[in-house]
Amino acid sequence: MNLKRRDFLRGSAAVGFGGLTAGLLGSTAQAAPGTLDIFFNSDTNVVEFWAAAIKPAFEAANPGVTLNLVSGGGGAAMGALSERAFAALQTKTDPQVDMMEAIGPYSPVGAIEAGLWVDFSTTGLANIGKLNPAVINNKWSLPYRGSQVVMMYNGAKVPTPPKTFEELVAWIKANPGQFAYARPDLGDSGACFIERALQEVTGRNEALFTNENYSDDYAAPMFEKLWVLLKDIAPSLYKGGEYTGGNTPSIQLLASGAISMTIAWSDMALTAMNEGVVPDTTALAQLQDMAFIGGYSAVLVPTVAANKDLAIKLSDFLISTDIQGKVVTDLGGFPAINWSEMPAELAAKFANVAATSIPSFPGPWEAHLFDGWYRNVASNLTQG
Amino acid sequence: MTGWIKRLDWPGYVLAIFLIFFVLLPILTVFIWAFTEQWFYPSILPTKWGLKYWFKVLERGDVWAAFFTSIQLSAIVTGLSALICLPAAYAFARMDFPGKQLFMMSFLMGNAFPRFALIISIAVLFLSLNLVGTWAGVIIIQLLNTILLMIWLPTAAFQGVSRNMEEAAADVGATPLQVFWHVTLPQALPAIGAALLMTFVWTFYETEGAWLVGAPRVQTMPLMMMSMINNQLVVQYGAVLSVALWVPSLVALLLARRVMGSDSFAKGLGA
Amino acid sequence: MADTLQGSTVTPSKAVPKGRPYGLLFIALPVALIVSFLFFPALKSIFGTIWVKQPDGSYGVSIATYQFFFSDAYSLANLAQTLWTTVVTMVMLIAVNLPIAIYLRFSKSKLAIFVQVLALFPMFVPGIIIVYALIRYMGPNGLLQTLLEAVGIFGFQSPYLTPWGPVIGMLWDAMPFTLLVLTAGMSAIPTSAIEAAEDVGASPMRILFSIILPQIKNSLLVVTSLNFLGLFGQAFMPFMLGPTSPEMMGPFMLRTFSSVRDPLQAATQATIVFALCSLAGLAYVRSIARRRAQEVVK
Repeated sequence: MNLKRRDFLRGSAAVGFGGLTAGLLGSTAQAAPGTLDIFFNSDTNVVEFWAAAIKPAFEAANPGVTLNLVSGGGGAAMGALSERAFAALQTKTDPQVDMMEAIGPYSPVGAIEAGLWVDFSTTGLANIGKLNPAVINNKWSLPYRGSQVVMMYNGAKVPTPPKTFEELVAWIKANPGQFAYARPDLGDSGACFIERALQEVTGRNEALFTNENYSDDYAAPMFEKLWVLLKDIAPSLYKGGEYTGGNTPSIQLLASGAISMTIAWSDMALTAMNEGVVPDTTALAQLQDMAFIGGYSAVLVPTVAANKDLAIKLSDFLISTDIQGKVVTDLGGFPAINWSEMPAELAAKFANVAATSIPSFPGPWEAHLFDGWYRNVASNLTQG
Repeated sequence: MTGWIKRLDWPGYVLAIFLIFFVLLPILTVFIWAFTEQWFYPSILPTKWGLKYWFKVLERGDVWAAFFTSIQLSAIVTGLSALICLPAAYAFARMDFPGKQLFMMSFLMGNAFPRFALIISIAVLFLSLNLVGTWAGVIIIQLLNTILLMIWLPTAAFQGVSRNMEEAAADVGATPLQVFWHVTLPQALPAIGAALLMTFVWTFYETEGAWLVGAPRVQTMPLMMMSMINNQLVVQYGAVLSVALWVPSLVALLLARRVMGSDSFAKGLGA
Repeated sequence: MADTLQGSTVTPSKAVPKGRPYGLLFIALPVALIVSFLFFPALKSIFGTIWVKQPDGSYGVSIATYQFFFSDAYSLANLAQTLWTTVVTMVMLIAVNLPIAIYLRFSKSKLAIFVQVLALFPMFVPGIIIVYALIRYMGPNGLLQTLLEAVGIFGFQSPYLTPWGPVIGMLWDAMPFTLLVLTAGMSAIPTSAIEAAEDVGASPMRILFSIILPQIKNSLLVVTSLNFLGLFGQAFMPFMLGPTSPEMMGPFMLRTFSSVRDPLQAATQATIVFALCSLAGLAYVRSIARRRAQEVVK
């Protein structure tokens, strides 16, 4: 996991300085030709993976091209950037955004209808046929890496982690105040927890939820069952029903010893353990009956990007066999392409790991699910 | 001086103790963190000390570049803000013109509307003016944040200046400019100094506008901090950067008191 | 003095022409900036909340989103929470900073320099850093708790993720500004006035209410209205330090905008916040106007 941080630092230093001089000298706001501005919603470990594995390879294969990797750091900042791209579409200008990583296409509202994002089903990527159809969420997002959500716990206080969701609920109730999950809109880990709970109360049938089938009438009875379950465990959570403000605060709460178990992204959890942020006794576990909802991170390319064609070329590069192999070996993630397309020795090595894909949850459902959670679970108001 | 405070300094001790618990200890937490490699409950002090993160931060060339970008931007924004706002503040305090209260209110109302709801329209405006990714763009958007403070605070100060003194000076033959320079300005200086200081520091640490308009071409110090801290499990990077910034901050604060020399500016800082 | 001789229609000072709109020239630039970059977009946004797309595709006037807000218990609870947090923080800001400002004004001891430096220092600590520092300091199993337990005090209840969390965070954040404005106002009080009052035997309380407070009324008003504005729309501190529900308007608006994906309702919430903040401003301007009217009468 510990990648060549220094290389990344040097690389970004050079780019940062180049950008600065460009800002000082030129006042015309054109993206430098051949420089792809890529904004990351993911954590630093992913940016470092790009810097070490993707950037050198792509730049070597395409002389004159530079990848400018910009860490976005948080949802609101990335939101502002997609708003800028949307505004650029309206004004027919260059947004200075060539690619956005790990955000969905559904925000800003109306962007899809207006044609803000490149439709990957029509761009004719050479590698598109390799993609595992199960991980394609929508035609604007090109998935390139999968990650799991796991239970992260202090092994000194939890000798045997729960194996099923039922056991997890039992554990939470038996250990009041020792478990916390993040608010669903602030940390995707929290979202994955309540989405897994939703699967639990509806009989663990993934087919019930698709991108197209949300309607209030269809969802209401299922949501009602979910609220009952979540309200039932709420008094046994940290501070009798408090929720952390994101993935990082969850892990920090665990690190401080205030709780014994939380829900986290596997890659973040591993980083935390490698960096020594959490006690040595920290361990991870996955549910055995049905894994937590996880997800595939994708890239989006705005149709107004100055370097759109290059960005599309890079997208194709991301789902090449070579890079996908590195996603597994260097990043510890899941490939987005079929295992049959992966390097033979990797495929053989991971053949025993049953998970060919990670359970996922449709984006269009989330807006309703999260708001319902705030109104029914987090607040003490009886009717929302 | 005044007897009732001089006689017993217990208020000073009460305040100092309060501030130690409320301000000093949290700051100390940041400070210790910058030199920490590991720190777990229930240890009072870090379980493992180290300079690891200082090396990691300081070997980045872009940190320095961003620092100078931020200093320059803040100086330009503060200067421009003073240039356009102080005359306006004087006008609000001392002149009569139609719609005065309304204009005064307009600065407040302009800032009262939550920014996030304006992101799209502001982005459209800056894109069509070709200002995205330029210094000019960042300066304009940061300037907008400073106007309210730079007008309201000096206006209140100018209003507080005694008219009798101005009139007395005018009666002995001082020109309006002399009256302003020798009578009005010195009395308003503490508040103006406070406004300048706050404007500079706030602009230095401003992120929203800089990100919305500047990224990825204009990289400021707090933007760099933001990307190093937000959703970062390792808090040390941010701690190191803050502690590194405290030294110049303190020096600037003390220098300002020296250079400006005048008692009034020091008073404005509370001395 | 001069006023009584010249009569009320004549300019009070030769330095300041009255009655002619020169002042408009002085304020033209900042007003133009505000109008084009803030007002124009804001008005467009407000207009968009009442001129909305109807089910049949045409546009028309509708106040449905406002009706929803004011009939929705959840939204109203959030608004009430925001008001509570703002008012409590403002009161605490004055309660903490006024004594410090008075102390700094009249004390020349070494301790005063210590107090001043400490009270102004939060200015140089960016919000994001202090949030994490506060979590580690006053959070569960934090430094404060560890220290208290070391001296035998147990039962510390962390304010982290309670309504007091954002109050403490915002108090920290706004303290230097409040103090700077108050001390600037305080510096205008002549020491002689206070000494004279003491000579005739006035109590400290009487000096506070009869001499100090009237002199710094302007500063208090400015700082209160600017703080109101800054605190009311805060999103970051409530996110990180506050409880999940009820939410403050800042996080609530952002969530409605990006997570619920309902920009219309978010703009409505923004307009309501805007209206409330404008009221605070109006109170300020009116009190200034009243004060000036009293001065003219005098």
